[in-house]
Amino acid sequence: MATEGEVLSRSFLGIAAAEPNWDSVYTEQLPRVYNFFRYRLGNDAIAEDLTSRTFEKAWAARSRYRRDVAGFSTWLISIARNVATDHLRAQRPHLPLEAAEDIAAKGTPHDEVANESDLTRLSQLLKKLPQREQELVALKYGAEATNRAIAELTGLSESNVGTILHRVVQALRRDW
Amino acid sequence: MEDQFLHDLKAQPSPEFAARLRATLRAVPPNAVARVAPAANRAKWFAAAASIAVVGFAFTLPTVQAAAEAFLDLFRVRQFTGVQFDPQRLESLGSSGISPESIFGNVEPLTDFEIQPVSYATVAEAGQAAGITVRTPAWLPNHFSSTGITVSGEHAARITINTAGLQAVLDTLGLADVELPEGLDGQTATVRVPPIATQTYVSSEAVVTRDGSSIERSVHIVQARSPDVSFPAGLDLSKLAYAGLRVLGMSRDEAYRMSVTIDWRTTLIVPVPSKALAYRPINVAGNEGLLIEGVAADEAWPGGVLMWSTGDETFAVAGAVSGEELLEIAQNLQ
Repeated sequence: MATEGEVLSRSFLGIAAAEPNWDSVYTEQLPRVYNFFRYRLGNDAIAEDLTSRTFEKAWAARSRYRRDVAGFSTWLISIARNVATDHLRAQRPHLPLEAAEDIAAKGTPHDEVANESDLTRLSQLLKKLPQREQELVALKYGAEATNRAIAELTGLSESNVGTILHRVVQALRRDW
Repeated sequence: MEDQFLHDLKAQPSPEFAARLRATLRAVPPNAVARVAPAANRAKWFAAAASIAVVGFAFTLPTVQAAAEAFLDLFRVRQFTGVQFDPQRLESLGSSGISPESIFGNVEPLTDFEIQPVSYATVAEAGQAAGITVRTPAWLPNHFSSTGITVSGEHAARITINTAGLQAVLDTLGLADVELPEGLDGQTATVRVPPIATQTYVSSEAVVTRDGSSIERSVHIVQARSPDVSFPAGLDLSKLAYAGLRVLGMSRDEAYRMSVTIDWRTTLIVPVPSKALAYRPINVAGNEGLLIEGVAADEAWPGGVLMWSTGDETFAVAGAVSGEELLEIAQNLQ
């Protein structure tokens, strides 16, 4: 039977081995997390704010990341999902107006405005869908998660994720 | 490809934002990030979370702790702010011959602190005893079920401040920059903590630790009218707060900034042991609360305590569940 000291050492080594390269993680994952929030909420400023919160939270909780439980990207996106949920709970009644005001006040270059308008349009179409479908789109197209990763995150089966997304994309395409 | 239009909406974060966030993460001080819990803390983290709640709310006050907690409660609780501290820093005071009971002066209990909380058969009966409408969770993590509700009696104490004890603490810690407010010596403050209702929920699934022992996971929901504290008019609370923050280990600049910007008549400082994983303000149904998540690196489950205030009532949810689950419970009290 292992002594407490041996158990502690193994635990320490396990945690040390699971520590990702944070510089690489930051570079790779920042656009995914940022776009997850853009697709989820349709607002760049809010996306930046919630992306910051997600990375700060992940950084503070990094010793709780377990490679044997989930890939790092999946873990990070699971934090982002919770951050989005918290935000939606607190802000839901005000989001559409804020999004519209933010874009109207920006005065960005033409191509950015076009892109923002498309994002706003997508956001408006998504808001007609149930929260689950909205989130699946954000995970798939914003966070670039695979159907398998989305299944892990949401508890849906992989085939169910594919079916729902196919249906949602067709509906969005029709209304676009 | 029919979904190409969805891919095309992606954008890169602005370089300014990316740089700003990177700088923010790099600036996070070492004591604000996760740590590996020592083995001695294994399976004790709910106790740690509970002790935080006790400090924060002055709930179920043991006589010895009453002085410190009552002193921290020289404010009407409307919001919470966490301040990290190293418990060893305060424990070192004991080795210097300073008794915790004598730090603030004389504490005179006005109620019987030995009376144990009373169990009630129903939430309604408990609410009647506590003088509140007890709110119950519409959502709990899987496998959790109620094991009962208790109500503690009202607690009250009068503190007569003795600045000699406070000055001894400052001297021992070498805090020459701290100046106690004039006229503090001999002042009295009266602390009243209304009856507290505590609901307990326990998981039917025990957790087995690495060493094979079994841990029972529980969640406690604490609710009470906010503590009511009276203190002499004209007391320089910001100066007193600066002293307290410096004793807890905060830097001069940070302690000064906080002491002059916080409304000390409504904000309760919650000392967060440095072993806690992280703490942050959090919105609970429109009210700003404080979430403290505990160290669980060598545990099967995380844990924490979430506290907030709404109207004239103060709440805490604490237990061996994640911060997200604590928030979910809090958001679904009805």
